[in-house]
Amino acid sequence: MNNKVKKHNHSELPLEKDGADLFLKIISTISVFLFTITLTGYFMVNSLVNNWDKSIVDGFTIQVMPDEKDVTQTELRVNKVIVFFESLEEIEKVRLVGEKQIHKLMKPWLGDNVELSDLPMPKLVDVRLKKGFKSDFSKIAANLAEIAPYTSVNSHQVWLNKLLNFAKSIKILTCGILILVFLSCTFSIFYATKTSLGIHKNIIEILHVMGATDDYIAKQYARRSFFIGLFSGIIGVFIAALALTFIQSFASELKGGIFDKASLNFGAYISIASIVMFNALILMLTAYYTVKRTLGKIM
Amino acid sequence: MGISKTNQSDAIVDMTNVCIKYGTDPEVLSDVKLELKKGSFHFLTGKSGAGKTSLLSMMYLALKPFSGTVSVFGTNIGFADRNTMAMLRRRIGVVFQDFRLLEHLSAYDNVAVPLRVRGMNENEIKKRVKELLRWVELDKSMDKICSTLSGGEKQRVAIARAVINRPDILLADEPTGNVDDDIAQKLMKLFVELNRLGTTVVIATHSQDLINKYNYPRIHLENKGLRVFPALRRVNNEQ
Ligand SMILES: Nc1ncnc2c1ncn2[C@@H]1O[C@H](COP(=O)(O)OP(=O)(O)OP(=O)(O)O)[C@@H](O)[C@H]1O
Ligand SMILES: [Mg+2]
Repeated sequence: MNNKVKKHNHSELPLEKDGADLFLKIISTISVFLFTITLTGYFMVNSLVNNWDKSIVDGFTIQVMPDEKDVTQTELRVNKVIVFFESLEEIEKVRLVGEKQIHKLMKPWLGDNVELSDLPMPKLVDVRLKKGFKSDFSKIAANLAEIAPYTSVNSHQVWLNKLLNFAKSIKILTCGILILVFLSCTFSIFYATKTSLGIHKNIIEILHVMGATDDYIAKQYARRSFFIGLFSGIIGVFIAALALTFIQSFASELKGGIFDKASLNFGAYISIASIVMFNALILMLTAYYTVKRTLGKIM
Repeated sequence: MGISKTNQSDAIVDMTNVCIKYGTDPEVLSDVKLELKKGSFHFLTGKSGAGKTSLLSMMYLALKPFSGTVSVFGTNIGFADRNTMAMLRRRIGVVFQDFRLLEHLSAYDNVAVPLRVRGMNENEIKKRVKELLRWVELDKSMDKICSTLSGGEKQRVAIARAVINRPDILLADEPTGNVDDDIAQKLMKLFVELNRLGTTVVIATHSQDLINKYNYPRIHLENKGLRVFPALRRVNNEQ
């Protein structure tokens, strides 16, 4: 007998049986799915942008054409370039790229058996910029061309800039989608809860006569909505993870592309996992305040 | 009238110039005046449609008067906020004419509702609910879902729910309409006992038997108005 009493369902409102409940589960699952996909997209683009930004800010490479007849002349040219950059205040470090490293860089193209010193290889000068310095790149390039016409500047600046702008507008777009998903989810919860209040009008009236506060009723809704949010959130993230794995297996076939740099760090994983909790909290709070507000308007 | 100030604290329910009206329908009751003293016991009579249920629902704060003032436990319900109303309702026990049980819950859980909304702990609830259900002879049916109970059983659940928290006022709408005579007797004994312990009681009924047997004053509704008939004899109702 004692055990039986403990097993009773304490919730006076049979919320799990009304149509609003199913609606809420479906809406919440879809929202979490969309949110997860979009947020993952955001983090991917974000990591791309960060990597590109770094390569732009960090520095660039100067190619110095060798003098075909005179090796000492070539060395003079290199020195001139190094001195030029050392005089600039935004430069952190200037360095001649060693033969070994060039060899390593060229190997995939030339193979093992080629003696580099036999070839008129351009010398490479690696220039690192100081952190936080936004140098006027085109001005530096123009000055350099004036004093050392035999150099060319290797920079992806122009197309990288375009790509960067593109990525930034994608970021804004994804933010917009996130906000829209969030808003539509919240409104859906609001209306589902209102509908449910209508369905259970009689029970709520009885509870009020028994002395229940609006808070007591709102808490039953909040509790139920929290669990719906948790449950459908887990399902939504799970489906999204499946979809993303599928997409990734596609992307990995495009090896070596710039999208290799798009990866998810630990923080991104935490954020995605926290969508579930976030979703449950949003459902809970929206349901709670919807009930309080709606009941506050009736007698 | 001059001493009404000092009597104010005695009045559990105080109505002045009260009109009851649903939408654009003609008034159900108009310009009603009624004062229920603490510890009083009244029958409420009148033809079907006279407004007994309407009058009671105003007392249990589910209906606001169209005009006039209603004070319950000294609080004017026209000005009370929602939390105050909830706190006042906790002191009121109600037996609805149509029971209005939570059909999907067991008899036990129905009787427990008034205690749960107060946040009482489950052990205390178990003790009180079981004891009362035993008293109304429903201990064998307490785990049954309400929708499977008979009319008389539902009525007893409704009454148990109304008295579980020893209310300051008990408002019962036809509480003995669906039960056998001996159970009706027993329920009336319960009401009388509660009244003896200080609960103000109002019982709406059509039963002339009941009125004759238990000699209490009677509030009678007729022609949109209200008249109070005093008890005929001064007898001890506890016999
Ligand atoms: N919610 C409502 N909406 C509209 N009219 C109502 C409502 N409740 C009651 N009425 C009307 O008010 C009048 C009084 O009804 P009420 O239920 O108070 O009578 P009663 O005395 O309890 O009758 P009975 O003895 O049959 O229970 C009736 O004419 C009824 O139609
Ligand atoms: Mg009635």
